Amino acid sequence: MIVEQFKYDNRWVRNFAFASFIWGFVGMLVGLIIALQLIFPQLNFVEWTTFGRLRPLHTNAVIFAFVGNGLFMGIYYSLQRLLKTRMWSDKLSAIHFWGWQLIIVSAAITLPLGITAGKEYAELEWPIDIAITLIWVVFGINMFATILVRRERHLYVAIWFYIATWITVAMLHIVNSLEIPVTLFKSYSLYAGVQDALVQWWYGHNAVAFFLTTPYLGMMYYFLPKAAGRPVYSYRLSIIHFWALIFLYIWAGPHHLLYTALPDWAQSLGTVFSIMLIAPSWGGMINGLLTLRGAWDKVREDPILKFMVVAVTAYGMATFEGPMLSIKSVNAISHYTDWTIAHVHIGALGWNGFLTFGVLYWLIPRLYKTNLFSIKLANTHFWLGTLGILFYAVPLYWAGFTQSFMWKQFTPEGILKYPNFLETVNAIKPMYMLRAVGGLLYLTGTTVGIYNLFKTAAQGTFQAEEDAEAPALEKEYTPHSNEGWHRVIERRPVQFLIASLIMVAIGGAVELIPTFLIESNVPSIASVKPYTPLELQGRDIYIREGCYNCHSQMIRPFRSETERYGEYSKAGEFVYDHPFQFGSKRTGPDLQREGGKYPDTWHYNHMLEPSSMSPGSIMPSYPHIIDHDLDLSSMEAKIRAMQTLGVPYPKGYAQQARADVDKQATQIQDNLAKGGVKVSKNKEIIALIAYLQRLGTDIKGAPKAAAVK
Amino acid sequence: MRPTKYIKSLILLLMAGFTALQSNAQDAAAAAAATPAPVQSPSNDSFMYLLVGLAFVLLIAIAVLGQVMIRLTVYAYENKGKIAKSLMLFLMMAVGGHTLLAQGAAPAAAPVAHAASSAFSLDFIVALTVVLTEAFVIFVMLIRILSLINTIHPQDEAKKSMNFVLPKWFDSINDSVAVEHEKDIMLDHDYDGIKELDNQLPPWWKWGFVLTIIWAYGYLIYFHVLEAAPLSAGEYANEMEAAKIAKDAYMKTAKSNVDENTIVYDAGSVADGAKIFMENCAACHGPKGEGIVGPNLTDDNWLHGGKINDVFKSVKYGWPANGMKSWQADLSATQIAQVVCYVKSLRGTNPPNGKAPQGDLYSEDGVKKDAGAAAATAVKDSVSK
Repeated sequence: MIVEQFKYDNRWVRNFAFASFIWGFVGMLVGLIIALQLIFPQLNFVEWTTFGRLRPLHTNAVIFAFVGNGLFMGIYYSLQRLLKTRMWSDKLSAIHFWGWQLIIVSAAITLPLGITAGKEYAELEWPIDIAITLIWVVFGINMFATILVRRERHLYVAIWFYIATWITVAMLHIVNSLEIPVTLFKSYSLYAGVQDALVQWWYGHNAVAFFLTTPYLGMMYYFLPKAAGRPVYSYRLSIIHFWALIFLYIWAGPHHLLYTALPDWAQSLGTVFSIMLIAPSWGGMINGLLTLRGAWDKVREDPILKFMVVAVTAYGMATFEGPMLSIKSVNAISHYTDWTIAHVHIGALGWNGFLTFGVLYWLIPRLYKTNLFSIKLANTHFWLGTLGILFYAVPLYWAGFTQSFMWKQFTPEGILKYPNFLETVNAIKPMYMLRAVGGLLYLTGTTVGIYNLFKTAAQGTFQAEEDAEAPALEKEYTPHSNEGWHRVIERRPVQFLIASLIMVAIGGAVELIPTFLIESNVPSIASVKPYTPLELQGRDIYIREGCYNCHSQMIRPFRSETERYGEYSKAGEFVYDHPFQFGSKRTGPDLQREGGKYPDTWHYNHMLEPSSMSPGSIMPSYPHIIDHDLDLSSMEAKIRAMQTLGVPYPKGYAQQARADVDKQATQIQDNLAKGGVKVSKNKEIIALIAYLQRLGTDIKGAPKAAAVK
Repeated sequence: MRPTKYIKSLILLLMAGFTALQSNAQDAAAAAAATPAPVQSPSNDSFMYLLVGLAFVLLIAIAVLGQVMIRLTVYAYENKGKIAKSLMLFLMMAVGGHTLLAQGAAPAAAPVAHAASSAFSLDFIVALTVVLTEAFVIFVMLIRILSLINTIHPQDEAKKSMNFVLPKWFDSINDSVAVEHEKDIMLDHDYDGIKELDNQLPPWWKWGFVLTIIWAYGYLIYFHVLEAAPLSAGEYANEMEAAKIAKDAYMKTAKSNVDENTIVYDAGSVADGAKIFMENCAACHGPKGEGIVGPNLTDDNWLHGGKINDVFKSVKYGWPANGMKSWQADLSATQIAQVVCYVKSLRGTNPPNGKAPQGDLYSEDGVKKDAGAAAATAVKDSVSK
């Protein structure tokens, strides 16, 4: 047996690590800003920094920049050591790193500019989507080639999770991002309405599963036993919970659409698969926590293990709470409220945040051949972070319950007890303030952590190339006589990849294909017509401003919702909605039946200064929509794109669209003038009013003069 | 047996602390309860009460911890002369400080319950600051106490590892092999130094998993094969029916059951109506009814009839095409009657910035004056289009 000498590449591990905590700081800072905007609407400042544009920036930064770089850091470090080989190509590592940072920078530029695809956690427009795909492939090649040239016969459980991560994220991203480009910065989703919603939440839910969870479980399986110096608790638990987790997770997406217009059978699948997910998720937590048996004395001393223990516990809490929220009667209360926000932050701040910092505190001193600059500061960070999580989550749970019950209460006379939506918002403002305090505490902890890590780096010397040695793999391999059945696939990475793909493809296929092919799943409604060109333009403004971040367009079949908003939503109403705009949170009221509720002038005044029409409103003001001229340059292209997607505009309608825009705009201008508002008819506000007045009117019966051609 | 002794004294102290503070807390609680709470915004009030309650609980905790710290410090001072005098001084100051704070906080917290109508009232901010400060003080005290205990009982390494050994039952419910015997189930796997044990699946986990799978089948069969319970649409129909029955039953017993046919002007309703008007109508019709987006309600011209019954109808069913929404889902019949009475009381008040008259002239004797100003009719025509 010849022992080969080689070197581990630490450069890109280090770069990903620094990128992770620097972007993490930025993402959390934006989070704090938008938390404060909910209390002080004047903090929305200018059009580029309104809540609707910054909230996607916050979610994208935390998910793809903070956690994204974090998982690449973990994979690049552990993969080399678990396979006893250097990353396959330094060049691909460099392309991967810089490509990913470029994507983040372009997201940070385009999202505040309002360039968005309008689908949650997948807001980035099509050129960036393509870039993500390419970089993801680069990452995949680099990882797989490394696996193929390994010096370790069997793949460790961490690598199973990395493989499942890679293949599933690729599948999710490509399917969900299919869209028709209109211009360089504008596209329409290939799917519409309920189908788009199903694809989006299949993606959204599994982005949580395969971007925020599986790679981090893989990292846990490497860094936790390393930091604790203990053997992994149970190999067979790893096997069962890995396969069960990736198979079951993919089915659970519809639990984001309970009580919506999604077919009932799909909703039920979402519920039952979420419940079945409890055990596989907890398998990861148990295997992590029980690995610490016999090392609990270390947990008391070592901030790294403290971070990891809280991370794994937060993971267990969030993955128990998630299935509970997927039970329809619980979801009826929690959905659209801050309960959901609290839930995801247990995951984001606890699981992802704390595991990232646990790993960083372990890793940076090793990369720099030194000790951690200050254990005391790390402990301070730990306590600030833990307090921050508590102060963040508890008030939001409270806010969620409070508001939900206010929404649902009736007087004995049978009318809503709190018919004024704003009353329910004002009731939870104090909780929003406490939440911001929690966020500030957590961010302070992060800042202390970053200082500590920089100081650690400064006192050590970076070792870009780390010497290592291992025997080469022998060509022939005779299996042990008593080896487990699973060992076979652990030495066949390509088969492992294919098996993972099959496992994750089944659930998606069973849910998506019937929803697309069987008509009864989306019963059509004859009175539902395509948007007029002006309304379409208005809808694009609605998407650009990210209105869906605070307003739903999906009335659930509850008395408390139909009394407040009107008839509940039907699947057939959304067939021309590319992309769907159901929303997932009601910081403001639902807008699906907004059309005809208020006069045009009300909308004009409300957009100019929301509190003039709704005193105490926390909505940002939108003077820029009133100032900006409507950009009609892509009018024809938009109509043609819609036609390609199957929207039945008459043949050659694109040429006529501008004339129709003008006609409808004049009408609205006249309406406004009668109400004493003088405004040019080619302003954006006219288009937005056209869209808002159209919303939900198709099945109202009485045709609205302004809405129907 | 020092540790047990210490725990005993801690419990005793805890109890003593409670009784000492109880009288104090009771007084303040009584004071808070005695003040009549405003009715408008119950959730805000409950929030304030909770904050005040929290402040008291934290105060108690601070007092108890303070006692513990004093005892510990004295103990450490007597038994281990080593403790730095400066630390002693600091502790004394901290304890003294918190007593002061506690005394200051109690009266500050009590009036907080008075008015909480606005989220950002001074009271709220004071209460919040008190709670946060207390939380911080407790945090600092806990850290100090921990380090004090460490000073008093410095543990040697061997002792340390003896701590935190999980009890035997923990292994048995998980069906795991004890740490001492784990060599028996150590697999020959070695990944960068990471070894793997081959513990059994924890039985509660395994059977819990099986249970969720059975439940899943049961759920699908129950709802989609047996169709034993309604799905979304059916649930909704049931809910609406139940609500209708409940409402009808209530309406039979309800005293006032006013509608557009039975409403009569009642000066006693005007004050309540004014409140409802400010909350719901003022945004469009102006705080004085002078008209902004919606028409002027103080003049004699009406778009949809000025008779009290007609006004009631307009409020109840709305004129959605003109931007007036139906209010029957938001306001009870009594409330609509109240706000209508208020509106009728506005006639002739001539507020500043009144909007130009719209609609037909209406006079209180009930005779429609079709010969109303031509200008007014013209406005009506253009608006109702």
